[in-house]
Amino acid sequence: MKKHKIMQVLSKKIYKEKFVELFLENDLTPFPRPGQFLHILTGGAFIRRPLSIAGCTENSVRILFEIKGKGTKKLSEISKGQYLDIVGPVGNNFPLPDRKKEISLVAGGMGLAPLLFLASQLISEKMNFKFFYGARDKGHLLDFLLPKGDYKKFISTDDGSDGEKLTVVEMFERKLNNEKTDIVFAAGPYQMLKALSEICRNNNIEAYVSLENIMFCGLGVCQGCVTETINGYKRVCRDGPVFDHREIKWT
Amino acid sequence: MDLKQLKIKLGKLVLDTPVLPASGTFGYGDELQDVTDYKFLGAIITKTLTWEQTQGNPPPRIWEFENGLMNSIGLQNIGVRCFASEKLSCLKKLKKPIIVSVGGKSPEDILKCIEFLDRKNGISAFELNLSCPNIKTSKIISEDPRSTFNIIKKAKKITDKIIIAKLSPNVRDICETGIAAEEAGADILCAVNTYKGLYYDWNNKKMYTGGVSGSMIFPMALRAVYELYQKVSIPIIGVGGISSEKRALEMIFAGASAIGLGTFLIINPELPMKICKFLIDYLKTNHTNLQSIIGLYNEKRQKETDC
Ligand SMILES: Cc1cc2nc3c(=O)[nH]c(=O)nc-3n(C[C@H](O)[C@H](O)[C@H](O)COP(=O)(O)OP(=O)(O)OC[C@H]3O[C@@H](n4cnc5c(N)ncnc54)[C@H](O)[C@@H]3O)c2cc1C
Ligand SMILES: Cc1cc2nc3c(=O)[nH]c(=O)nc-3n(C[C@H](O)[C@H](O)[C@H](O)COP(=O)(O)O)c2cc1C
Ligand code: FES
Repeated sequence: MKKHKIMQVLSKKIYKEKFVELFLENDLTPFPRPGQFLHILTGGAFIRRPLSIAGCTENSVRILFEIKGKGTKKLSEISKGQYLDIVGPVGNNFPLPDRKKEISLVAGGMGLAPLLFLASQLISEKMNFKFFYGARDKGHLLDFLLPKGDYKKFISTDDGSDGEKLTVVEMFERKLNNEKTDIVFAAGPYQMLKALSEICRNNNIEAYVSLENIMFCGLGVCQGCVTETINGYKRVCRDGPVFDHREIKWT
Repeated sequence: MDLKQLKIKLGKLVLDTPVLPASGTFGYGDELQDVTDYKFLGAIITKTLTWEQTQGNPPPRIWEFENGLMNSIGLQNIGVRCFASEKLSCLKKLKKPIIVSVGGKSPEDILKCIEFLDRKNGISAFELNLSCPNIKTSKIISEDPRSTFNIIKKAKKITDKIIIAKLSPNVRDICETGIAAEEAGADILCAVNTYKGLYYDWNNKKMYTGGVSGSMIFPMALRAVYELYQKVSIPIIGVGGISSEKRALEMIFAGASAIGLGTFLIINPELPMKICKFLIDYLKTNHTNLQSIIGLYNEKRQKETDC
């Protein structure tokens, strides 16, 4: 079927022992857009695991994940040539912004994955943007994966072991005076997105954030992954994962 | 694959195959066409609809076990009226029997849904999700034979359409509610709904309650169908933890005329196709037909009919 696929692993790399990058043969229809994700049967857990699409070409799809628990552990053990059971591409996407706007991408931790895909798209569209990226510490920083291009990068770690000693949201806020931003695209942990949302609200900045709720179907049919919004409960897998930050009732 | 031999009648309900989706994991019925091949499904079933639109429970709503799932969705849905105006026409295009699952906060709510939908064309059957409390007795309807009997009796007066009673397994003896449903005039039984469960979350040190589904409930669901088959004569749809072709056939051997896939329709969207293929191969190798293998190894009923 169109969205249930068995896809081959073309290559695999492991960074800093717990981050895994897989390139899969691209069998996806329609062509994925930044913000969308794959729902993957890992073999290590009962239900599928959602992972963002971190890049995509005609021939390959890239995913990038941290080994967190049983599902991602098992997935990290797959090797080149083996196959993965996938549902995707699923979810909505980051809206393509107006060229005239000052764009900032803000990634915390593995929120990097979907924003790598968005950055590549902006680069190929010849759009200007700034990339703010923060991780817990040097051991969790994957800044070498940022795509080549003529854009400003700002790197931070919570403990200062690399880049500025700030959370990515603090860094973004401090730079606001010199680095004008009209629109933000962000992904990362809930608390980070919540803090970012408040700053964007106070500074009248448009912002789209990608949420990471636990999911069962990933297809919008079970209502298992909802988040509370000003318009009632919405499904993160189908109505999201990308939401206008003003729509979310942060808890 | 020649599906013709998988055609099966559950009383007045005629299905192209005995493989059905279970309510709640199939959305409003037309949303999984990109994922699973509808050709292998005997009918369309909606998630449970209520009279008013229902918000559902606050998240989290999903918890995972090694071999199963616990959910606490709280019947979030758009309500029957919105369903009738926005979804029903799309479902009719699928050219399959349409089973609408109805539920609610009270028996009156459920009956109101049936009364309203009865006037709409295209619906073949109502499945009554009786997992709601009876305000008067404060018992869950499907856990109390009297309330089950009363609501089905009333439903039969309102509609001529097929009535499927979906039974809860959270009872001492499922045959009591099953028999009550049959005596009230239910056309078909569907067994079972989810099992009551509890989940402890080590991260936030909290306990959550919900309904358990998936492979871990299969032996109990199989037993429920086995026991019902010995006590009732209306057809049974066997649901609960079916995760493979073999498990589907075992459910039929225990007495199910059709089987429902909930959790595993999502985990393995090819399962309907695999079950159909397996059934066809089985029937061919054993020179038999689908009707003859329903309850085939349910020895107790066998004895009753023998003597
Ligand atoms: C739309 C979306 C995109 C994502 N993209 C990425 C990505 O590109 N890279 C990446 O490293 N991570 C991503 N995640 C998070 C990733 O899905 C979880 O880290 C992963 O599911 C953990 O599974 P596990 O079995 O290894 O961990 P577990 O042993 O199950 O638990 C570890 C932690 O992971 C969380 N988790 C468990 N199951 C899920 C689930 N089904 N959905 C979300 N979180 C879960 C739990 O809160 C738990 O705290 C994304 C999540 C979502 C919803
Ligand atoms: C996420 C989820 C939602 C469900 N929603 C409903 C529902 O709305 N109405 C209903 O009658 N049963 C509902 N069920 C129960 C299933 O229809 C089925 O009876 C149960 O899950 C056991 O089957 P399974 O193990 O194949 O999933 C739901 C189950 C799950 C997992
Ligand atoms: S995970 Fe089922 S609706 Fe989102």
